[in-house]
Amino acid sequence: MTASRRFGIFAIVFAVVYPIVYIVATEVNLALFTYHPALGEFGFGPNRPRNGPAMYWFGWMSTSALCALVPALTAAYLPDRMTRKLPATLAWAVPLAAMIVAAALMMKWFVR
Amino acid sequence: MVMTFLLIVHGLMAVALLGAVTHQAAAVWWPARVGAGGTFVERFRAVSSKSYVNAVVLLYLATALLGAVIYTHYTISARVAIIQLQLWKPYGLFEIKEHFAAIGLGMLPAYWYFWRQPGADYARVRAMLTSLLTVAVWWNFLVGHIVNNIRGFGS
Repeated sequence: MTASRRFGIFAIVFAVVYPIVYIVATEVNLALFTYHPALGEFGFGPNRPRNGPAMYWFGWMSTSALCALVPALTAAYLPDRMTRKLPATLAWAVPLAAMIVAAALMMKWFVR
Repeated sequence: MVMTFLLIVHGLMAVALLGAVTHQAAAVWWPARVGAGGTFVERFRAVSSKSYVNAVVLLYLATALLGAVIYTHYTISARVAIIQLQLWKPYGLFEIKEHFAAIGLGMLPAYWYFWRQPGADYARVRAMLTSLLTVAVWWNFLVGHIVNNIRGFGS
């Protein structure tokens, strides 16, 4: 398998896993770390707010990137016959679904 | 003062990104006819889509990075005011902006890869990835302006 083909498999799997983990991470707060902007401090995992608001967004993205990196790298090094039929359509269909779900989950702010 | 400067730079980079990705989306979905005239709209559609890819990726990363820095200040200033004023609709709009920006970041490797593939095999994939990034960038640009305008410049 060529390096370009490997990167293609990596990119498809990453594009699929990352948004799924991101949506789950935002819903159940699976932040890898928390940033406390008022104090300029970081905490491992999802922390309670300290002297001001806590920011989980960076932690959600880090969790998603790490969780997507492992299967994406693994898939990139699988034999060609195992990944040949991986549909490229998933690279946009799953992020599209994630964007719709993310927007739908935020509708609660428009009906208050 | 520093945050105001960074916010302006963030806005300028967002304008550049908006232009690049909109040009690309227009050229992908509505390509100019061969030998088309020289109207503004036809020239807008007639760009070489592929030439925008690296610029879109770099501008997206740079704009998101700067946005992330500004976001820390937003969280302890504007966001607190928005919550205290119970402005839930702008609050919700910004939450969607945050999620679209993050999901867009996850699409960038695929976007970059499929634009480097020759031929028409992945034309639909390229078009859809470009469209999703375009939607995310437009949403984030407009919402950023709306939320910024709530408290006004320099407040």
